[in-house]
Amino acid sequence: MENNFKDIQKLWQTQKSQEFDVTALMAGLKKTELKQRREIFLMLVITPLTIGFLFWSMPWRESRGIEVSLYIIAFAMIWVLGLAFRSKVVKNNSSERFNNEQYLTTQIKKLKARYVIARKHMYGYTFLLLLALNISYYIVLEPLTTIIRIGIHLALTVLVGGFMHWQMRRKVKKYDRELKPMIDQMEEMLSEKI
Amino acid sequence: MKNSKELEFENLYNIHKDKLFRLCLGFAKDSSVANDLFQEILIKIWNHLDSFRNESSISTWIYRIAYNTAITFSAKENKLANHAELPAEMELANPESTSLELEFQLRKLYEAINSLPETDRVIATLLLENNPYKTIAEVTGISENYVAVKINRIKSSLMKTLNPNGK
Repeated sequence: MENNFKDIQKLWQTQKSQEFDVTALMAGLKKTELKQRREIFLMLVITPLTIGFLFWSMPWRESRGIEVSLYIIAFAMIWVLGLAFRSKVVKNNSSERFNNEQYLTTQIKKLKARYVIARKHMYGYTFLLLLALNISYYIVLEPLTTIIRIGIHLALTVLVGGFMHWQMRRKVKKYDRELKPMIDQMEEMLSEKI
Repeated sequence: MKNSKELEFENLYNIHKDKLFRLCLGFAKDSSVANDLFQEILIKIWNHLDSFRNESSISTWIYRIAYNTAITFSAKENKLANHAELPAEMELANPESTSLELEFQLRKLYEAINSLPETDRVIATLLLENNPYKTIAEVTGISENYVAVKINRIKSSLMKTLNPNGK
């Protein structure tokens, strides 16, 4: 059997790599690195700028309610930025440090975390957004009659909540199609090792 | 002028390109998919090059990146088809330097490798590159003893597929 296997090894090693333009690849990778650095910079700049703009444009000094709603929006935006930062910017997936088993475990965990973001955290974000908007509207709509105010609050909540719910359902369905088979496959690979 | 990272990357590429390409063919269903996987591995090596700390040998480090990328790639590919089948027109070797007979044998070998479960494919391809059990254990994360058990099974399975008459 050993001799035959040595022949198989020899046969295997006759295959050579196809020619690949590694210089062009490196040039492309350097461009991508630059683009990623720009994206990170924008992500880090846009959130504080938006928060700053909201505080600058809204009369938060005149109303405690608007001040509270701006704090809630700022908190929600920073929280979402943190989530995006973790999934986008922290790209080190440790493929160079982990063996197959550790790598599969971390990849499964990472993919499942995306589900948690779409299923749970985004609802938390929606709740905070609706809370902040409703507080602001409560103050801004003060001169109107009660029935109109309730109507606007309800319409706002249903529209924003419904839109966010629809977006999240789409995301989860996409994950069901794309991520779930991968998670199942990786879990199967892990169980094969045992 | 090239910087030190580019020179190091080019050097690693020249040393390991054949091994990496072969492993891609062991995990891909056709040569264009193998090329995609090959490129993905090269990108990962580039991205991680700054983090190499000599804690393991450079080849183990590259193998870890390559195989971890390959198994994730394989999981993505398996979404589309559960069983890997090599198309008849798959170009396995450089046609200028390979005889038809050799190409036929290579095709059979890749079919045999592709029919193995992913973990066994990792072990088989590492073994075909003459890697010691220790390296295989380090890359896969299973004990050397279990690697030995698996290798016996893989060898029998490959021999049976490639030489069904037992000659």
